[in-house]
Amino acid sequence: LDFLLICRATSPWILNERTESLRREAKAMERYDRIFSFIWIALGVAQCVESVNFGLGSVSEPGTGFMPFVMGLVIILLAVSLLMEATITLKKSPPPKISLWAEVHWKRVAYITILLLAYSFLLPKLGYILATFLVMVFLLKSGEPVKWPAAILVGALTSGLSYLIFGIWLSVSFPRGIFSF
Amino acid sequence: MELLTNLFHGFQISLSPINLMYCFIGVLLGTLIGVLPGIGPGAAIALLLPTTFRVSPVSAIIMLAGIYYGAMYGGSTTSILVNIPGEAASVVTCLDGYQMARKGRAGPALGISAFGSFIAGTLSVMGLMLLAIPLSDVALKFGFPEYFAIMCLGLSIVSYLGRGSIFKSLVMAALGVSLSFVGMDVVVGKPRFDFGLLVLGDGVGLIPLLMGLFGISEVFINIEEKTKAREIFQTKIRGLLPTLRDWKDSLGAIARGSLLGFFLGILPGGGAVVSSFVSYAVEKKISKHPEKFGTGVIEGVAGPESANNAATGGAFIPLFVLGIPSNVAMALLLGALMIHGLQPGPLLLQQHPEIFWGTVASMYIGNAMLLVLNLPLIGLWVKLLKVPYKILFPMILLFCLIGAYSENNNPADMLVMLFFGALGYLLRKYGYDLAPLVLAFVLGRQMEQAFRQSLIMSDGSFTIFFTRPISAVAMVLGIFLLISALIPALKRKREKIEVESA
Repeated sequence: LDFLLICRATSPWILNERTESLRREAKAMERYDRIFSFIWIALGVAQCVESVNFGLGSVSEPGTGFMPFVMGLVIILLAVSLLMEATITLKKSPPPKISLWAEVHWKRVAYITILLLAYSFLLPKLGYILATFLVMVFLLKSGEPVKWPAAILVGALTSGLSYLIFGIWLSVSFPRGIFSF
Repeated sequence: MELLTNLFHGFQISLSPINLMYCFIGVLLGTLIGVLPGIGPGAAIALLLPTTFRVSPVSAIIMLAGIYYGAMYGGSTTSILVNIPGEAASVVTCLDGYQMARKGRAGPALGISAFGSFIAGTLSVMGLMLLAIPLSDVALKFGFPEYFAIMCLGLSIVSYLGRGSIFKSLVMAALGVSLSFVGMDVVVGKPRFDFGLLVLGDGVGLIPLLMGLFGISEVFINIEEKTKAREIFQTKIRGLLPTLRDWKDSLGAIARGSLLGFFLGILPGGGAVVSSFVSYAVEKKISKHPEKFGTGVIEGVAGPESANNAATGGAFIPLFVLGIPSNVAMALLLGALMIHGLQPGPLLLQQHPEIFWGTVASMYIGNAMLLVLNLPLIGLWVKLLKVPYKILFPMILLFCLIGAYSENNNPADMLVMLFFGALGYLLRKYGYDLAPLVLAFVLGRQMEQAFRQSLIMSDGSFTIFFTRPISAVAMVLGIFLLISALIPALKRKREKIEVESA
């Protein structure tokens, strides 16, 4: 057991948390454990209810809903334990109030998500080469600034080359869209 | 004798031109991935999985395995030269490797990590070769209760080793198992939890899930950071060959690292990362001059680098023997085999020995290729580090999109992947470890089947898991482990070690 304790203690997360700000952020996360445990409880309850609808069967002949029902119970149990643990920690050593969102580019993440969503809708309509070119150019512009000509060049190169590799060499059938080739 | 015949057969397979090519592509890409920070071996295998759909299963596994152990080689280069670990298993290499580079000894540091990796990699392939067959004979006698108990133990260990509160890791594991329920119930053929969505009819796809959780969310985590300028340490790399003294200092470390790495690699959730840390701790503990660690001692590079390579060989044992992956990369290999219609486990070793022996033989060849590839090409890898992330991340995202799409040529799979990308991003931000979720998801279906069949066998009595010796031992160990994480005294001890090692 001691051996495992050491394994756990030396796991990379700990090393990552060496710096003070990261350590504080890790502590700050504990504030949200309670909110998350409510989400998990709700999920577990929903899973149990659904499972009953599928039919639990009997213990000696478990049905479709049996194992999901058991796992739903397990989730509820674990989430309640997490809730209690988080409440105790909150009382004993309240974590610092730092926002996990203030100092990061979360807007960039949201923007990229929207771009990728758009891509999955545009791909069948515009065809692989055009849709990929467009999404690559916008992705390149979304991070640290890349100049327009460079973005267009890289976008054209990646969409063309990736089409050669995946579309032709590995024969993935991409939608052709408005191009007929 | 049978062993040699089998190995000979394996070499025949892996030396065929096409498999040599896939082995080469695998280790080359693996090294590349290992060098580039921001993509780990798990994400890399996920990215390249789609390229293997149309090749034979042996070639696919040879290439994907090559990526895995190749990444372990490549990771050390950036740790030593730039103080940025290319992947998690090379984090400790930074401690002494970078210091060696600053003292003008980058050459020997790179050299010893390549040689150490080669020695350890080869030794662990031998271990894999010798242990897998006898173990699989034992595994053939396992019934459903044993499988269920061993999977439970595996998930307990993964959760125990996870980050932060044990409840958080366990919730992730439970969620992973639950996610595997989506889609058709295999026993009676009833759909469940598919929310009426066609794309979920056959269950959540492994590839969209993995690419979302490990590819997309990793990019998100990297992209939200305010960018830090990467500084490449300007040094002339002279004389990659370590001196006789270096060899004398590191041989013990390499041997211990190989052994440790191999056995920790077998443990679920352990693998390359943990073994490199443990190896460093062990070397420091038994060293005559522990105070010098962190100032550029060669044992501090040789030990962990050997350990993380040895772990890759060990990690294949549970996959081939039981069909239970011990880490995310192995879960992906399992997925790759299943896409080719093969179910890893003791039966696979008997019915398709060519897959096991071809892979083992290719690992000998791959390790040799890596040694040749790594030493002369270091200059090229360093240049690669200069490719800025702003150019790199759109390409990673594109690979993920193509990968998710190409398995079924279905754009809806891209949406599933994006969902898991966003979910993974949020969970990571709030301190949840994703490894238990993924492993549980991969094992979920097997677990359910084993659980249901066990209950049918025992006519509804749960004691079946505790009356059969092997499953009882596994169950008790798992429960003991989880309880130990909660006992206040042990918990304090755990936290104390955390603080000390930090």
